[in-house]
Amino acid sequence: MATIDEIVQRCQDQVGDLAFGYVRDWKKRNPQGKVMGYFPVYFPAEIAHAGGILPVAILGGGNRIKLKQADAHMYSFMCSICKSTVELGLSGRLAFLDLFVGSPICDAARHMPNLMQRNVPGLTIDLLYYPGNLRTELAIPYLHREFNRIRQLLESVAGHAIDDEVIRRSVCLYNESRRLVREIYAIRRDSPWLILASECYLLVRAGTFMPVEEHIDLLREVLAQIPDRHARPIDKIRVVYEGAFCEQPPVEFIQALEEVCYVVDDDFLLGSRLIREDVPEDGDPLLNLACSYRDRSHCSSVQHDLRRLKSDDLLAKCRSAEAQAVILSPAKFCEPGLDDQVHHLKRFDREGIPSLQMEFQERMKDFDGVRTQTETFAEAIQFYAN
Amino acid sequence: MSEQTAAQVAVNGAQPSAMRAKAKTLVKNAFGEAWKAKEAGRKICYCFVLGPAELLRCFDMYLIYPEISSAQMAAKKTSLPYIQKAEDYGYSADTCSYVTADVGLYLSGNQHPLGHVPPPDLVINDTLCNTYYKWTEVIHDFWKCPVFSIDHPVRLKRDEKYPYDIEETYQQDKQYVVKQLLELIAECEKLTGIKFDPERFRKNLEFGNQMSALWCEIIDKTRNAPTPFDAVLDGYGYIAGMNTHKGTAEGVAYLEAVKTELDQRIVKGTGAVAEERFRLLWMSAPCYPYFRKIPEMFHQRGATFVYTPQFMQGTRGTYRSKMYDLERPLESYAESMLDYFHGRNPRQAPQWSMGWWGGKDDIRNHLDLMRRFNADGIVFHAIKSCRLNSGGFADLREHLSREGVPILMLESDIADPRFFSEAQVKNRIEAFMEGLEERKYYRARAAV
Ligand code: SF4
Ligand code: SF4
Repeated sequence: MATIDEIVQRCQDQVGDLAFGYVRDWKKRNPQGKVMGYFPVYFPAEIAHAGGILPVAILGGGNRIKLKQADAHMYSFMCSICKSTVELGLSGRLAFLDLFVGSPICDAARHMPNLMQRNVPGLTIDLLYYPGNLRTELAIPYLHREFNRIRQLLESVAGHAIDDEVIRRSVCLYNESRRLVREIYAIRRDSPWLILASECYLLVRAGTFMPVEEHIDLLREVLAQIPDRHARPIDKIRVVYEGAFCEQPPVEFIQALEEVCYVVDDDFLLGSRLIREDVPEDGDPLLNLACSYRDRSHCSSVQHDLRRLKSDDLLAKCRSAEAQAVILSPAKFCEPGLDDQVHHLKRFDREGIPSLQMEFQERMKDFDGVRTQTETFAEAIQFYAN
Repeated sequence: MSEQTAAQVAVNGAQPSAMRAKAKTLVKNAFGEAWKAKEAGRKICYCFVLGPAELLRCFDMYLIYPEISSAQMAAKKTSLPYIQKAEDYGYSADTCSYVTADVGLYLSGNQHPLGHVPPPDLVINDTLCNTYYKWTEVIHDFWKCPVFSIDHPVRLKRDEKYPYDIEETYQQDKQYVVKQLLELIAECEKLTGIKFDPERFRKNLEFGNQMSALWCEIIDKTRNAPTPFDAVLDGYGYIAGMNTHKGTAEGVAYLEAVKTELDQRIVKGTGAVAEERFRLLWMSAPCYPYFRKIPEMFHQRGATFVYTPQFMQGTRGTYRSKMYDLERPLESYAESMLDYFHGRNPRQAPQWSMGWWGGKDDIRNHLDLMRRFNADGIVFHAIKSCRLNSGGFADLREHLSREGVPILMLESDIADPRFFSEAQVKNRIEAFMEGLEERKYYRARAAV
């Protein structure tokens, strides 16, 4: 049986593979199988899975991709994930996709599917539109219809109908995978030395491109081994990280943070964990997914729902993780994240909880600055605590 | 340009449009009267320029437009201290500078160069731009006021056939918007204590229709050679005057006056510049801190702007040759919001799409505009902090250059003066104009 270290290393290799080797292999193993790509934050993967379509999150190109063509087509002040996703398309790396679905979650993401459509011949593209006004009850019937439309879109890719019953079975599987991820997060909150944030990130990230069944096995394997891991607590501050709901920082960035502190909760890959409880497994599955998006989800900077404040959510996260501080670090040029950074900053100031503000970029390669900044921050907290 | 017209222009020279100056007064009054309105017990509603003004007026609300407020700060060259205040407070220089200027205003006790702005009793946003949603959240953080979003879904124009019924999607989206409008009505009734009067709404839409008809005529006048007004220098003034008075008799009167002035200018052959040599399309909003300076750099070379997509984008409802249907006002109102973004019929409102919506049609639409306005080239004004407007320009430039369209890409910002470099902008304009001159010369020679 592979050790946790080995599993994590395998995930890291797969995540860094710009050729999407894992997915291409899956296609070889499943010659009739179709693959769809979606842009973050969230996509109801259950519907694709029920259609026998592999849902793959297209999360940009990380810090290994060179922007050879995208720069000519993209506005300079756009976030990196939009640019590198277009680069993936322009360089033919997404040719394995049978469908790409974007969402106009922000002004930058509005452009990206259209840019792909104009410049990546052969790639079938559509939009999933999430209701901008989640405060009203109207959001649910709207989203229910929207998910039905997405079902029709996926049926055209699959070449057959996708029945409610099959979606219900997929919902059960995804519930299980979400439960397992929540378990890992709970362990991190209780004993962060047993499973690191960067390891957890890679394990969750694997679920963004592998079939949920395989991901469930992988998570179970890891969970079974965690209690036996040899690791001892170290005197580090406990922090919650906020800002990576869409573009993802490089793993080295997370590792640089955790050299200094325990990252006991975060919003990495938020889309995979957006639904924070089980989706009901009986009844109309698309309606259940729609209700869950509105009423059982974490906050993200691109969901607009003033029934609750985003800073309430973050504060609750910090309290339940017994964090001493928060790191507010949106992606560069990510306007929704940057705006929320101020919202959180002011709230945390009022609550007397220290916060560190920084920015990241998926393309960054030098992490000394991140380490130094975090060290200075942590030292100040430890100094005052003593 | 005919010889006779050219001679007339040379004699008449350039004269600024009086209606541009009038727009300033209209906007100034709109701000100046805000406190009076508040003191008189009217509710203050912050709503964005495409917001449902005609509906809100049914509740006697006093409307304040945050974008116009920020644009005015910038045009009066006062935006920088406001923006810096917001940055000191924590906002990033990468946030839309309209938002940071507005935050700076709140941090300055709401003291605007045009007057003291009262805080909102309600704020309403729509889906033109996602930043509106964030901006509304920022306003909520400051003022804790009720917030209402009118969400009109965005649909991509697919290159392939839709595998679902796009017409049905449109009808469902429309019902979604109508229901939101009904919720908004209920909320406004509660807030103001005024019952919704459908007759009054119909009347406001009728004014809206009259304004639409006039505006469609006005923007078509730039097809004259010489164009009687500059789409940037004058056009944005008209838009501001119009947007602050949507759905009102004053709005109709203003546009009538604009139209009359332009007709007179056409008869006299008065152009926007002394001698019109080049006609250009201006894509995007202006750089408000240098509102006059940039167009004037073009004017000096005999170039004037004959079109900007903001003619359509900045003026919901007015772009449509189809008017509000007064028999089904709410539905028709919802359509005016939805038709912006719906892939159902991409050629219905093509002229304003700035490259994020229409797929390959975006390219065709730009070429159509070139022909329709007999333009010599396109200036893309990339606004540093506005991804909505600027995000597609680099790609459009790639595609349109391949079609042989002369293109100039200028970079600055909508409200932040720090992103304008006079020397760089001037050099680029000079080089572009040289290119146009050469092109003209060779074309003329080839024609001989
Ligand atoms: S990282 Fe931010 S700006 Fe970029 S696509 Fe995601 S939400 Fe939009
Ligand atoms: S359209 Fe651009 S300038 Fe206007 S609010 Fe949106 S981001 Fe800001």
